[in-house]
Amino acid sequence: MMHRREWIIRESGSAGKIVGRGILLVASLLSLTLAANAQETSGVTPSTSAGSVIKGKAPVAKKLLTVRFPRPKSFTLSNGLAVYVLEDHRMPAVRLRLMMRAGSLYEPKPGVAETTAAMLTEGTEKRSYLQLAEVTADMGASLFASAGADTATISASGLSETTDTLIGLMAEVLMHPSFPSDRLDRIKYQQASQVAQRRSNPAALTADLSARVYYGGTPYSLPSPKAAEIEALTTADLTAFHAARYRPNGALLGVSGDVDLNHLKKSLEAALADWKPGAQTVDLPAADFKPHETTRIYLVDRPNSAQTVLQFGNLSVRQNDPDYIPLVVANRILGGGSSGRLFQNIREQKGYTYGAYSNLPAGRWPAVWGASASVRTPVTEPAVREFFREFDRLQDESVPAEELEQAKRSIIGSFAGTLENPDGILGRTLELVQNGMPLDYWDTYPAHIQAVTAEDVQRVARKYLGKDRIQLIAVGERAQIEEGLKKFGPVEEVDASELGGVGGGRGGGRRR
Amino acid sequence: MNHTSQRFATVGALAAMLCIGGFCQADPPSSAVKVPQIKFTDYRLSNGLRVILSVDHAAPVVAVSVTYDVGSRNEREGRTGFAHLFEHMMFQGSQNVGKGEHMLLIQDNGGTMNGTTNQDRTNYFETVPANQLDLALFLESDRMRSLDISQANLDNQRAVVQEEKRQSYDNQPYGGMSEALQGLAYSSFGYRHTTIGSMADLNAATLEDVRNFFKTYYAPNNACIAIVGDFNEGEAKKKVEKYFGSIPRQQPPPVPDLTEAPLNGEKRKLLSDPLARLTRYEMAFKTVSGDNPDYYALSMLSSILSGGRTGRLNSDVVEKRLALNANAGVQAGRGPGLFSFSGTLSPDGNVEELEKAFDAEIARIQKDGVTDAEIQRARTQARARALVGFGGGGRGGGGFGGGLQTVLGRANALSQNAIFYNDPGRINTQLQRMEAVTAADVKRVANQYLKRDNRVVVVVVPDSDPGMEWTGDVWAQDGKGSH
Repeated sequence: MMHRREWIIRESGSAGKIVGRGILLVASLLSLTLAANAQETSGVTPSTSAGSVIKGKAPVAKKLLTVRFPRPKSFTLSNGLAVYVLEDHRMPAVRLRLMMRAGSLYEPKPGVAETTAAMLTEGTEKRSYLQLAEVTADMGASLFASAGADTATISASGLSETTDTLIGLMAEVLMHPSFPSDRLDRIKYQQASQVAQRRSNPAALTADLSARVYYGGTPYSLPSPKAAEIEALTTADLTAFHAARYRPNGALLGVSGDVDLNHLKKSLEAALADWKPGAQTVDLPAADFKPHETTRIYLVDRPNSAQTVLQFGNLSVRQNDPDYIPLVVANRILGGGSSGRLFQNIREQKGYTYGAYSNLPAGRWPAVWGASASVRTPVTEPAVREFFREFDRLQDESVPAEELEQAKRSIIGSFAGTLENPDGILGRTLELVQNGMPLDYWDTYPAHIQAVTAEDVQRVARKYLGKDRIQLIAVGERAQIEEGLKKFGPVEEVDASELGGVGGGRGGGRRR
Repeated sequence: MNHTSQRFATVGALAAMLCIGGFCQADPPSSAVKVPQIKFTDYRLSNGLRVILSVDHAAPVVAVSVTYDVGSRNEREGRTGFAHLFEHMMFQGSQNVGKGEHMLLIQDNGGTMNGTTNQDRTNYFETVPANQLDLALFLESDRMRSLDISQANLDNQRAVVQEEKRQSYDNQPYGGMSEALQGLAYSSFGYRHTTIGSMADLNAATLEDVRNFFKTYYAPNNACIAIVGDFNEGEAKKKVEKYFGSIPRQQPPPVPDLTEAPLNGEKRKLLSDPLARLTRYEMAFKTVSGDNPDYYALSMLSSILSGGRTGRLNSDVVEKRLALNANAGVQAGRGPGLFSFSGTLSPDGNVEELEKAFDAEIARIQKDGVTDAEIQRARTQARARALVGFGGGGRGGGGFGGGLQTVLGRANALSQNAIFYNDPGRINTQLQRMEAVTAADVKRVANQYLKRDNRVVVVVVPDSDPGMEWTGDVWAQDGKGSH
């Protein structure tokens, strides 16, 4: 459906955002606690921060509503597949996600992983792509497969009456794809046709350049494959990769919705009886991750740009690093949503942009702590200056007590909304399993967030942002912005034709 | 109230309705299918504010949505984009709330918030932890009662909105396409211009405009508040009266003249776009508003044409390599919607062939109609969307905010349906209306609306394209810089 007339204004950040497709959770699953924190009061003192004025008259409940996520049930199939189930009987719906270590990190040559995944629904030994689409559509269901850096995922959703049929379809595309050559040709044609368009897309360009800037020289770089690399792929490449990597050992299946655990177990055992473990390694490739020590600026000329797309960052840590939690708080203060300093300064005070945010992914390998905004071309230089000013301020000044408390409160408080969406809760558990985190992580997370001090924030800001170490990727009208950018560090021009391969930007800067 | 039991009760009925392979009767299955009904209480305060309360204790959150009966269709010439700029000003301070304080308070207490503007309405909403309902009501009531803004705030948000226009349109390929389509398709000023407006008109907006707009449109008798989630209804009624009850009623706002003249002939426009690398084509037919029964038949038609890989356009256009993608869609609004066919061409694609393929598809449906199996599939998909939540809340009338599965999606849909159609309960009847559509209905609306003299066509070509050759029709040529 089109919603061209819908004009959606996004003023909030991504963190804590309640996303759609959630289905409601049975109340009995919840363990709800009201935690009063003596340090938090309703009497916010009138003050003025960058971009905002606080009158302090609104009634704020002092109590911080903290919630405990229900823990999914888990079992292991006889072939070794680990299954996590979050039952929810409020809506007659089910969602399955089968994740295997079959992402681009493990591919023998560029493009194999994502093309293998894309081909799973292009035909099986029993059905053509169209028959697969028809049987799915006639159930009102959906069936997709895709690959990221670490995992390939098969997703199936539908009404819960169709659960067994969905499991059967999932098993069919998993175990018996036929990789028809005419469908591979079609994918090659689609990909090749879109190369030029991608080279004028700032998001695709920054994704590819990020992969090189932060992970260059490691197996995690993963720029999108070139059209010629996709063109060279053969059915044999895909079948070999499929045989080697689509295996139950190291794989995870998440199921949420209106299912019966015992029936589900039987259905899965039956449908996946012939799916056998393989000899593939599930360990991540070794790499020497090195944060940059000196600031560099990478400039991609995009003629006729109305704005400069700015993306700052540097390598930070894995989710299991002790510094990750203080970084979450530091990130919130810097640029987490509309109360972040970047938004307050660069949008609400300066009016340079529609939105300025920072972002800290939770990864199985060191993630890029990044910050970004799109700014009108003539203010590129002052906007970059404000970004660096905010990076410095987080390192040079201790965060005020009230700002620190509000940041923690927003992180912990946003958990209540997550309970609307059991699939989101299941996703958080699967992420823990994927990243090798303890399963009680979310139970103790609020306490760990609460324990972060102003000194912690300053310390991790210094350690991971650092003075003169931030990298900056800028995509815009070179002739108008190059001189200004040179004031912040050496500028390296990158030709768009070296970037923008095919498919989605999938670089190591992305999760999993 | 108790959604759980109702949702359970529907399961058996649904099982009976799942028919794979198109063997079901084409009769409307609505009698057998009971989509979970959302219970709500609907009343007005003495100042005219419409209040809708819907309790759901499933998660400890509550959503508040205030929809005002004003959108870009209410704008006057010389002030395009103002309704949306004004929406930004509603976050810039009121008598008891400082500039930006609303955003800080909601986010710092674990909530999310936003505001959106389209042609037909403006809405403001937040989802907060259940114990912060007072905060949300206080914030919404304070800015319904009063605005406290300055020239500096206006200048700041004018700049922000202009960056929003650049980010979403001017710096994007095909960013001028919807403006061109609207400009060709509609005759009334209200629908002829875009919600984002023009840079010149945004620059012309004054504080006086802001004050007048607030006084004219931001009144309790021109709004609806919906509260959905984990609260006690009796207490919520008292809170709504406490926060909103004393806001004075205003004169009803003027009714815009939205009289639409029929197109009476095809209109075409060719745009060159320096940011595009591939040619994009769109044709749009002028149809009906979202409360017209024909809307549902048009919506089912769009699903049959464009419903993923099983849609006709996939097999007849995309698989034949006439375009890299091809879609059909229809809008549900208060004014006449557009039913559109669109596609992006491959570098060696041909616009005329794509248009011929669309025309052939239309002619085939006008002559032979659609099959019962296609109707059945479209019904099943509509039902799954309603129950499982695929595709967000578009059909439910919310269009954003997460579909009817979230408290926010329901709050937005309830308040919008109250403002649009004086029928908040439409969220409970939408699917029935969709499922009542027959193959005969689809054939009829295809003949009634998809006519050549009732359409507009816009083609965007890459700037580098040295002169597209077009034979036959006369094209109005225009560059991207014109808007």
